[in-house]
Amino acid sequence: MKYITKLLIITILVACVLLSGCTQPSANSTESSTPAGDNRIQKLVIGTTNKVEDTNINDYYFGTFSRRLTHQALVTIAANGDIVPELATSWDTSDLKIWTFHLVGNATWHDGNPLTAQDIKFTMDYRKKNDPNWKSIFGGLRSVEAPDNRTVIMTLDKPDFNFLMNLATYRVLPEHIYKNVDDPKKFNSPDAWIGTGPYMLKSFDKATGLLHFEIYDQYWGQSPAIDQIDIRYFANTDTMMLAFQKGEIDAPYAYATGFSPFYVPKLLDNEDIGIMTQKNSGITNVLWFNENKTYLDSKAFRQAVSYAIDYEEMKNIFTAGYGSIPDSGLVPQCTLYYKETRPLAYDVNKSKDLLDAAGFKDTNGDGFREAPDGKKFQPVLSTRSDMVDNVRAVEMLKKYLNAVGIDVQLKIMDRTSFGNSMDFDKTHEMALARTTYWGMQMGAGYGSGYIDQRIYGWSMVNDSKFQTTVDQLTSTIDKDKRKDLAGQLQDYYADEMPAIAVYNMDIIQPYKKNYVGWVYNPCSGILNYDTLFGLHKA
Amino acid sequence: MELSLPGNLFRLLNDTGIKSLDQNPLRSLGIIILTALVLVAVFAPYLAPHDPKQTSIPYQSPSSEHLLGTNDLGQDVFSELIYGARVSLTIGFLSGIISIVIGVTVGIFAGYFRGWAEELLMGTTDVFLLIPSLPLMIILAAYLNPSMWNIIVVVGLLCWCSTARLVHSRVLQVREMQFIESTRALGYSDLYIIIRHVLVNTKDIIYAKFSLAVASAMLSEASLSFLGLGDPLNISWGEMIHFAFSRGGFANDMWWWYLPPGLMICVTLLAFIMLTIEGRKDSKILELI
Repeated sequence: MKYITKLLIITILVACVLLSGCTQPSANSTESSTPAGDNRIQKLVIGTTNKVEDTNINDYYFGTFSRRLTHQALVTIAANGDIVPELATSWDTSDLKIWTFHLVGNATWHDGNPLTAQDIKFTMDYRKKNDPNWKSIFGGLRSVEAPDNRTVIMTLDKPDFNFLMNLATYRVLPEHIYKNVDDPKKFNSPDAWIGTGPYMLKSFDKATGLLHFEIYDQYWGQSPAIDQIDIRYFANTDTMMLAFQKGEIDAPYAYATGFSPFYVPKLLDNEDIGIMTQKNSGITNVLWFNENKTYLDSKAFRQAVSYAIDYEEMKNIFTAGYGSIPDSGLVPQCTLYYKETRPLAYDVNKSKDLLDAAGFKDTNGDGFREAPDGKKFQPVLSTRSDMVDNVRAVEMLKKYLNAVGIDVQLKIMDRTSFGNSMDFDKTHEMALARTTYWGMQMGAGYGSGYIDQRIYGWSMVNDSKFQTTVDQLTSTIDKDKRKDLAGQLQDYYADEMPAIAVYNMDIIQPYKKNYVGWVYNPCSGILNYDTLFGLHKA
Repeated sequence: MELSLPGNLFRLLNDTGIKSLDQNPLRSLGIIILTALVLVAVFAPYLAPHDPKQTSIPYQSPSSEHLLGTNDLGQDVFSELIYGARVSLTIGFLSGIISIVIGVTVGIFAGYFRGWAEELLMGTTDVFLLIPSLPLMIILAAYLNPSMWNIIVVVGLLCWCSTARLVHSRVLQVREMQFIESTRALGYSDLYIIIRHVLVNTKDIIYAKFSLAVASAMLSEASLSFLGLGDPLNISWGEMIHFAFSRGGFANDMWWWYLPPGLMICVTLLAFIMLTIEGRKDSKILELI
């Protein structure tokens, strides 16, 4: 009898433990939303220096965080770089021109309305009218049809191998909310935060830059592992790192980049902190030439600049061993179909010879070269003020260019002005800016979107030879042909030098060891579904 | 008999409104410190052990080669500190001059002419005083390109209001004095009276406010630079702290990088404030300031 009683008690206890693991989480209660008991994370605090200015869909960093947590796209990018389903369960195309997507059946918006194919059609039609970047990303999208609630058909002007990559970053918006919004830039109420993602944005404190997210308990997929997420803004990376060392945040985050290696020694002293490093699929700092500007259209000038830079010193100062110098072919070595091209070399004499031969000579004896037509030559090199590494890097570039007689003028601009200058106005001359993983894939890939005047075109290249290669690459499926065309692009960069990859720093991503399951994604960093659904207490 | 050089010097200083130094040790100390700083700034190329732009190994600790270590670009912090005196003092003095010229002009004309001129000028001053100057400076500095000259202009144009009010108060007293009335009765022009009599009798306040204006300008420049709105090519003390704060100096406890420029700013401000300290308890300047 005693044995039966003991067995009964043990059975009841085991059943209780098992049942507690099956409890459904609730977005409104931290205690009740711990299905895995002690292993579940109640709140994750992420620090960032990426400032959300406003919660409208045109705000760059609001877009970054909402895409990670609250909003979804038809497809997404996995940690290994593959395109995988998100709101589309599957898709098919026979000619890279007509794409048919089949949607998940049970997705709902945060206000309870169901997601339909009409929302996708609306999003594309709506953003075509008011997204300033539309032409760069979806300029070739001719039409979107929604024949039924679960099917979307997109038709392009011409075949596009990379079409899914563009879709992966494009947030789907609810038609029932946005159909009444004429100017999305001014629409920042909580309704603007409604998405289909696993988290809902509950509050945004503009004064402190704090974004507070809570789990969406009606999420159509499996439930994420973290109940609440706070994104805390820090104006300064040092301050954020001090807060991280004190345990005030669980991980620092910066979109499409890691953290400088000079933080590593101090972090390594802290037993609670781990550091993961990844090869950067973007490029940390690239010197861009706007070929539409007088004198910068000179290939000899751009090549001369490439020989004036001491890459080894830049790499040592800015990456401290956690980086590399890309080739003159621009794309990082970890890129598919990377082709080895001429290594970037520091040769002051060769730089001077090239400038002399191109007619850039110091005719008035002031130590700086005049333009070939004898006019004063002071090219402007601009960069973003919020990226202090870049500010320091342009100081170094000025030193190098002055040494070969180029009187470069520095222009340090705020993020918005710099973005407008590069993306829309095209008023920049030379600029130092990074490329992101996604940016390297846009257009035909291999950084062509940044180069091609028809897309973002930071280099404003309008060369038919280049554009023909880009177009062929866009419409080609055959692997061997793609490899050949990718090689041709890299050869073009190495020869024409529309941009120079000054140095590339590995992604250094610190994290708190008290949680296990941090995953780095080349597109979204540590804020990805692998982390959100798999992170748990150590 | 001609006075000896020190006597001449003190008389000259007295003539320019700076009272006897021997009776005011704090002011003497202020002058000594500022003289030393100006000499450091002038002779920076001879005093600095390295070219401040020269790069080497970054983040070095203090050593005999680099007394205050190296910064994030491997530049010698001690040399940068010495050259930083040039930029900080230049910005401070030039901004101070701009603000004092505007403030004195507004204050004197408003106080002397009174009437609609006073209402207009002091009304404008009140409007400027209502605007929080640092946020406005931040906006202007962010809008304009980061350059030393832009900072000088921005700081100079926004720091003149208190000078204008003080000078205005003083001129109101002076213009009612009998000798001014006599001069006016003798038919001298307003401009002559302002320059030869009113301005001369306001000089104590102007000197004191100039000292404070330079100190205030230096502090404003340091604030702007600390926020990343300074000129990265003309490294001031504020800019040094900015880069230490943005590039791992604080996170890695590199006190030798951020503390010396902070101390230099404090010492310089203190020296300027010492210049304004009056020895006598019944000082009119103290009452006004």
